[in-house]
Amino acid sequence: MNDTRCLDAETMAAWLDGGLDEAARADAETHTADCARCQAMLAALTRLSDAAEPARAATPAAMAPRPTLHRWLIPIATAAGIGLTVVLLPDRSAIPPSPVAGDVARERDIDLARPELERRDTPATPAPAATAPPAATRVAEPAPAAQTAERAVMDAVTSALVGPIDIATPDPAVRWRVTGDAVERSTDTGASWTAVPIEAGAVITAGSAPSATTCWLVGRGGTVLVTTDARTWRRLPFPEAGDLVAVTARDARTASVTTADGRTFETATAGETWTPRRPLQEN
Amino acid sequence: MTRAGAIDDVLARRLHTRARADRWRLAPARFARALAASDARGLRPDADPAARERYLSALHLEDLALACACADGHDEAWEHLLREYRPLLHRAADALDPTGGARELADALYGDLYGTTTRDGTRRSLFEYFHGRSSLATWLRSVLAQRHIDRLRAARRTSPLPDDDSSATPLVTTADTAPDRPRRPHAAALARALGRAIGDLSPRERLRLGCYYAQEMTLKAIGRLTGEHEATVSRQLARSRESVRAEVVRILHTESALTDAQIAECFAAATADAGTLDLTRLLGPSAPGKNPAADRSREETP
Repeated sequence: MNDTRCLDAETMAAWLDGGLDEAARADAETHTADCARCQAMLAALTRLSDAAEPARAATPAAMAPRPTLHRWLIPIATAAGIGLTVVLLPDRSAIPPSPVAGDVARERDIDLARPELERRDTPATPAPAATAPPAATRVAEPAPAAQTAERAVMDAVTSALVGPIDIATPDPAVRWRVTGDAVERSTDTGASWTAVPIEAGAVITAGSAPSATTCWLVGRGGTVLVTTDARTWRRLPFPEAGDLVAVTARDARTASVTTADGRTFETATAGETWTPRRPLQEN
Repeated sequence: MTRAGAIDDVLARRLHTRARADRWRLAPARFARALAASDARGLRPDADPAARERYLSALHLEDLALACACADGHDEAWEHLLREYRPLLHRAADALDPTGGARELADALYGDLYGTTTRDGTRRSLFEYFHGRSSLATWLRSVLAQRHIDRLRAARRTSPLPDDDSSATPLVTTADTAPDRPRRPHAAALARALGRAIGDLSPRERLRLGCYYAQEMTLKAIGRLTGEHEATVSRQLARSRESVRAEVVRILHTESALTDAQIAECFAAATADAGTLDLTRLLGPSAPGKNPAADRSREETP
């Protein structure tokens, strides 16, 4: 598998359901490790599954606030602090047992990697055994958890997936970005940006810049745009009207484009002709 | 369909029976074509017959048969689909958008599931992209989620950018220009060190960290992706965190020449106020210190 492509819906679903073989899963992991969009999509799908099953929706992560870097830094800071200065946080072994009952408790009990701060953040939480409802009660009252899960899904989708498309070029000082319908270029490592307008209505999903002035953009409805002067865009013909999700360009004439259903088309003639490539898992 | 015909007839008939494809009066040959398409999608071309049989036998065969029948326009199959899966899609849509906005997406999905006419005049159903590697329910949720995201992206085109466009915000304010430098000393050095330390991790380690800390997934959900028990995920997360911590300290010591006290101050300041540090970006491809050439998803990832 070429791990430069975002995962299509079928591959994501297969991954979630354990339908990928070892090699395909490794490829998917390699891509997703560095792809915030695919990570967020997987997280959203996981939560959709949870939301569809009320009993499972009441997981700690679904109910907990979104972790921040602040929280994530704590264990690093703390551990470093232990070695360097003083113990800033209580020893893990001194942390009282998880306050939650049932399955939730079991997950918390083994959740050693969750920063200690999360437990420090909730010291005011009433003692669990006394106040936490039994697991059966939680299952019988799915609504609040489901609502929280919905919020979590919305968070995942809106804040993580609808971000700008950041396109690097071989020149470290030159970058492109796509935010909504605004395409911009920077020649000073992102300190300032100049708009390079595209045609109205185009929805861009990915880009690739093989040189400082050449950039390919692809998007919905078979949209393929290319510029070779960093000022004007030319729409290239594409054989299908489906959505495109990835592009890897070698130069102004040569590129491969991936459709939303995972097929790849290649051109070496600046879009005059396109040749389908074998699907991902066949390679 | 590239290897249609490669499926052994006996195997195809056995799987046809297991799929209860007769319910939809799906011909064995039609189901064999779907199996061949799935085979081409999910199996290496050089797979041996035993591996092929294992792969095909592990498919969600009943779902695949239903998808085939619906793609072919079988009325009873469609009735079954609507009865069984419409509530599921609506629940997923409501989870995506509690205001009900995603329901229309879910309903509109049926048109594409039935199929749209292509330029050459043939009808192409979305079900052709379902290969039985997941359940039909998971696949439908996945398709719906992607469409919802597409729509959000499209909607964003018409929304004015916020005044303080966060996308223009550098990962961390550089030390030379930081207006609040006294409050967050060595923030740039810390961000660089974190970016490099995270970049040095293996893809699976970065995946676990990203899913856990940036995406807030549960250990169980991460384990589902990595094929690990949740206790293993927990242990590995702790190990990665320790590795990152040690590397950050090493970099700050050796390359930024910070003293122990300065490092402690640096951590304390970042902990108290993360400022412009962004975990998602640190865990993503644009982290400082990561080799752009290795950030292959960068140019493809919105």
